[in-house]
Amino acid sequence: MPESSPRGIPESAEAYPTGAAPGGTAAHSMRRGGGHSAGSYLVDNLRALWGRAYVRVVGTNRELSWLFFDTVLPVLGVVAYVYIYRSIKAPEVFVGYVILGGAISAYWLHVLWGMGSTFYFDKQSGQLELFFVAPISRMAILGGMAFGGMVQTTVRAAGALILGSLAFGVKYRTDALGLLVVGFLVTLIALYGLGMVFASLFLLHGREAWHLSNLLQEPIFLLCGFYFPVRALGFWAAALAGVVPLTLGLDALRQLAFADAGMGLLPAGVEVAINAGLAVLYLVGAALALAHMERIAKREGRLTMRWQ
Amino acid sequence: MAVKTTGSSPSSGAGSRDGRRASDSHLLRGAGGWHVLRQAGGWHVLRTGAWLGWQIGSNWTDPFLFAVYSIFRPVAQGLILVFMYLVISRDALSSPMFAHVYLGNAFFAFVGQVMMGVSWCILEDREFFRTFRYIYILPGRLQWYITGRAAAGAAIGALSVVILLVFGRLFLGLPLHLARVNWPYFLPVLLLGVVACAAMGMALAGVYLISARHGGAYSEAVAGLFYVLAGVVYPIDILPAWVQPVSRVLPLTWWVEGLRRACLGHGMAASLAWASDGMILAILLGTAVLLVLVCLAVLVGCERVARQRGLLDVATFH
Repeated sequence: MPESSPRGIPESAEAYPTGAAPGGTAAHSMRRGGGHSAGSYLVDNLRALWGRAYVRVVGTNRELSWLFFDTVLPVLGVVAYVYIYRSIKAPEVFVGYVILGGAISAYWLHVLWGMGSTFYFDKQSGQLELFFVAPISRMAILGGMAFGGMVQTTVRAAGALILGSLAFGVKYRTDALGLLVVGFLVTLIALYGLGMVFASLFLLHGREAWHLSNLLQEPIFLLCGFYFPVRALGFWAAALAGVVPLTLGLDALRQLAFADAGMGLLPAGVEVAINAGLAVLYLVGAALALAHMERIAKREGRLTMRWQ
Repeated sequence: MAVKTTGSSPSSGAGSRDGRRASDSHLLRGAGGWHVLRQAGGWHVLRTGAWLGWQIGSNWTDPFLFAVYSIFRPVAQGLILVFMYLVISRDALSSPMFAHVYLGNAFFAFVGQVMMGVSWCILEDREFFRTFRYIYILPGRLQWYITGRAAAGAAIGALSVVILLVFGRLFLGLPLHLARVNWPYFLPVLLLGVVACAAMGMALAGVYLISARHGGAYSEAVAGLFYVLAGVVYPIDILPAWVQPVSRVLPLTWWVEGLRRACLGHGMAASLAWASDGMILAILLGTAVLLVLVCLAVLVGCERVARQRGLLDVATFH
């Protein structure tokens, strides 16, 4: 399958300082307002979060060619897999599995390239030191990246899902819509929590971040069962793959979205609950990884060195 | 937002190129037979490009990570197909069709490494490493450098293919035997396909010379189209009737069919069964030569536009 990726094109709009975002920077607000009370610190962090998310939210539609490619490319990959299933006369529900998996794959690619590698790209463009000297929590920056990324990717994934579903006549069930929406949101939070962990860890690996992101594409497509029910891997292998929230999340979505699924690993409700636990775990992990990265920044002073 | 740097005005861009030519001519006339020496310079650039491509693709990382990356990634790609088959039928892996699918998918690694790698190197050198301006003023034409990068991509692609085929033979029991491969047929077919991939990479490299950083998705789109249209993982007969003529004019369709015949003894698509092995090779040769000519023209044309507009060393941040 064609790689979806390098390719992790760094989002250009993000190369600009956060001061370009509405509301100005936290430092600016401090100069204006002065104090450092808990309330103003919270407001500053929320502003930073929104500032970081803003470039991704507005960037969603600013470059229409991105929108086109990000919607059409996943469908192209999916089309090939649909024809594979059709060539071996698989039940038609597998077409739905593939379309859904292809659409959801956009989130994984975004977590790798838009979250995991972003601090590395920020470092390359001289942006990272601005984040470190800003009087805000680094979690606000990561939270903004995650929120903006979710919005941005959802537009793409929805486009790919609609396009693929229309092209191949996929039918969905709607009687479990509530749990489906909850399961989807919980999966996204857990997934982007993992992306926040990646952001710190990938940065420590310097330019190997590129290879790490590449490495985690196809193997994760395999382990998470993007193009086949994950149960086919065997229970324990699939359970192990469950550390990536998309494994159980996608399995739950398939059970809830298709009439004759019957190939789930665990009951959908259980999978959603496990992902809720993973969401907490990864958010805490992200805070710890950030603190670790900051310690290294102070001790070794290499986080702003480019081309390493 | 484009950030223009030195020598990026239309006149200076063209001027520097002309100046380079004048300088080349002067030096080479002094040494005698400038055409031959220019080719020699081209060879040096090609070799350096290949070395650089290999360094970026492999050596700029931890050896363990590279080994894991080189093995797991292609194997995972192959295993996705395996599980797609297994989930439908336990016996599916022993069907002749699966061997064709697996083989086509394995050799498609060349498209990813050569075509996408070659085109991506322009963006990489220009936008990320900011070295393109220095590469461009090297003696020897840009095509040599790109060909060198293609050679590195082909080496890495070959590594992926070998890993996938060995894995398929050892663990999936695919009927792949070195003794049964029709080598005199396989080698020219393989070479022509790699050349076609490199040519398409050159055309895309030309497009990247005149486009911003976000254009990196073009090569993915082209690769994705080939994956769908060339019958890499299914016979083209299953495509809608109106798409099949498009498939038949693509060199990669004939390339994959030729590789299947060379390695497995017979092809996959019923609609290509009318063509003998020799005809497949001839059609592949014809379409590949045509493609090379068109792609070189695209590269040269885009290079000219880039020089005229001063885009060669622009970091677009976009």
